[in-house]
Amino acid sequence: MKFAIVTAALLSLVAWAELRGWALTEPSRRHPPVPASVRSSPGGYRSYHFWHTGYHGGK
Amino acid sequence: MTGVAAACPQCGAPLRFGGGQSLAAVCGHCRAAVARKGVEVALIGKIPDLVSTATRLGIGDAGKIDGKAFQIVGRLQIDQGAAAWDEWYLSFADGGDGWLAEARGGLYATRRFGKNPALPPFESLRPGTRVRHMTVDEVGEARFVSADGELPFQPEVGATYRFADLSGGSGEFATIDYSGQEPELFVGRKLDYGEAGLAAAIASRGRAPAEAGPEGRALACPGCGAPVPLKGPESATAACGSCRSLLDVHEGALGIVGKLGERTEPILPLGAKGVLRGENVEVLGYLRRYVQYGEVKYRWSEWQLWGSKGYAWLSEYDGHWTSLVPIPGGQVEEESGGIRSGGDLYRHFQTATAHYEDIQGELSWQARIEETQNVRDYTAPPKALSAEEEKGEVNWARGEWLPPEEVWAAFKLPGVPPRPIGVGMAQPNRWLPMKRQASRWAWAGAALLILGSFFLAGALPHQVVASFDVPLPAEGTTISPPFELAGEMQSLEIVAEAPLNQSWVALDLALINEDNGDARSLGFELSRFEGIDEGEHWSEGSRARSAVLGSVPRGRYLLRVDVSLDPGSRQLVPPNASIRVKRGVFVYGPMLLGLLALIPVPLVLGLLSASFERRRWEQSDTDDEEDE
Repeated sequence: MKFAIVTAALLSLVAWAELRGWALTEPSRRHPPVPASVRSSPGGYRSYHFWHTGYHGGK
Repeated sequence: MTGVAAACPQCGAPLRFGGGQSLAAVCGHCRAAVARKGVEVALIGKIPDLVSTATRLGIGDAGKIDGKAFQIVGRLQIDQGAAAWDEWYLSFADGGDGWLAEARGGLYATRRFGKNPALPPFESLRPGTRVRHMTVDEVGEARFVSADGELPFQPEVGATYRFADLSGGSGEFATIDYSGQEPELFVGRKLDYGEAGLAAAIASRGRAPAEAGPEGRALACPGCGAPVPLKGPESATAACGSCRSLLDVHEGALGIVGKLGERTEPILPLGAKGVLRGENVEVLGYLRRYVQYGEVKYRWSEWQLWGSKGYAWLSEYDGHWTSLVPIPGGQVEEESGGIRSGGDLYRHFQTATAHYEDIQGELSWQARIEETQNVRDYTAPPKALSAEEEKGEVNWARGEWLPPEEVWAAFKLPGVPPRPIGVGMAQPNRWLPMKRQASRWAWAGAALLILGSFFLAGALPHQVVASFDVPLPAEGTTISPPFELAGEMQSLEIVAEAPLNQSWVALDLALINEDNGDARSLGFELSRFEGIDEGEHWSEGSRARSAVLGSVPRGRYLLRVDVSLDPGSRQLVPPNASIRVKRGVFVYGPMLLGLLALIPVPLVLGLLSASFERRRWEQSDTDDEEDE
């Protein structure tokens, strides 16, 4: 019975994680929030200093 | 029952030939043996007095077997050199006759088999030989000791006859009598006093047929005169507790047959009474035995018990206890992989030559301290099966491992039982049921998880919330139109594609929550190169990439895309890359982690179970170890 309970709990946890879109690996990096001043100014996103993945490759 | 009445030719006492098949009778007054020929009677000899046995029956007792009424009209006493047993001659109401043997603590009812089948010669029989559907338990020679009442033949005291006892899987019993020119087959079954309808007759004499506990008698030791109590109905060997003589019980007297060595102290004392698995039992005898491998002796203890169901055994080795009851050889059947008995397949554990080291109390067979037995043990934990072969007889016993605490409680022994050493032959593997249960649930969980994931993958919205083009040759920054993500947390898939050829493009993406400024960044490298090298076509790179972001909260979002190009191939890149954003896509992480999480419990329990079995089978002389 205890194995049934553990299995049921595990399946519930998996279903919950799945519905929440929980990913095992995260391909993105999180950054500090973009300031409201940037978000509210026209073209602000273009000039805001973002980041670069550093890819310079290719053939 | 009427029959023929006559007078004893020796003393004139009345004689009656009540059984239709009775050809001789013993005068109860003068012990003369009288033969009948028609209405004439003739004196044929004198029969010694009956020897004392622990029988519960008497001539004149009436019973019923399988609905057929009978009356006991005669009695024959037989022995094999040790204690005599009684075979009661029955006259059935249907005019037929039969026998009821009191042996091994039970009753064996037999009647002559109607048409005599072809029977194997005595010399070809061994214990274990199969004769039709039955198994030979014993082949031997018995001697007429005494008789009383009516008999179907003229008794010749001291005469011997050869016989074979057989048993079947469902309680059938048979004996082949080789005393005549042609062997005769008698078939029947084992039954108890109640089944034979004799309970009332026994009770009328003030004795309960299923009363637990031996009746009891005592004889004087011929070595020292000390009293030797005999409680078992078939005691054939006794050990004097005073002078340590090993005694043969024969025709109600004791004879010294050996001298016992150093006395060992049994855990269960002789005479101890208890309730074992609901049955009243009393300890009658004790054996200390050993098997020897090289210089090492492996010792164990055995107790012969007497209870309401007859004889039983308790065995102890290294603190592991097993209770056993005798079973007929017909209840075991060899098959590949072991012995089948009572629906269980028992695997061979060991075969050894067992020696006696000490004997105490009384035993139901002729034991000699110097004799050895070929012992075979089988196990189907928690059950055990044992075969002991000696002097043309194989005795099978089947039983079960007992927790030591149960033995202590059954006999109200003081203190706590010694902790068992190692793993016992029939000790149940406590990890095995847990492992099986955990494995069953793990498999069921995995199946549910996979099926559920398929269902969920189909049920998730997979909704495209944004789709836009990113100009490539300009190598600038593109901001997507804002898009809404409804619902709570969810997964988000970003797909980038560009029809590249001999070029590459790097896309730096930033997903920005316009409500609170939260930002996540990721990069895609799209490329496509191909050519021919030494006549071989090659290609590398990918024109499409995707990534799934987990746990993205609801809100208003936009995607900023920075484009980087190879300056040397700017003219080769296509005008646009397309970007699509989908919400509510399936993520594999939870399912994979869930599958992994199902493994450890059955794995650990499986390892514990395997380790337990390895320790059990380390003590076996069987090569192949139990799988589970």
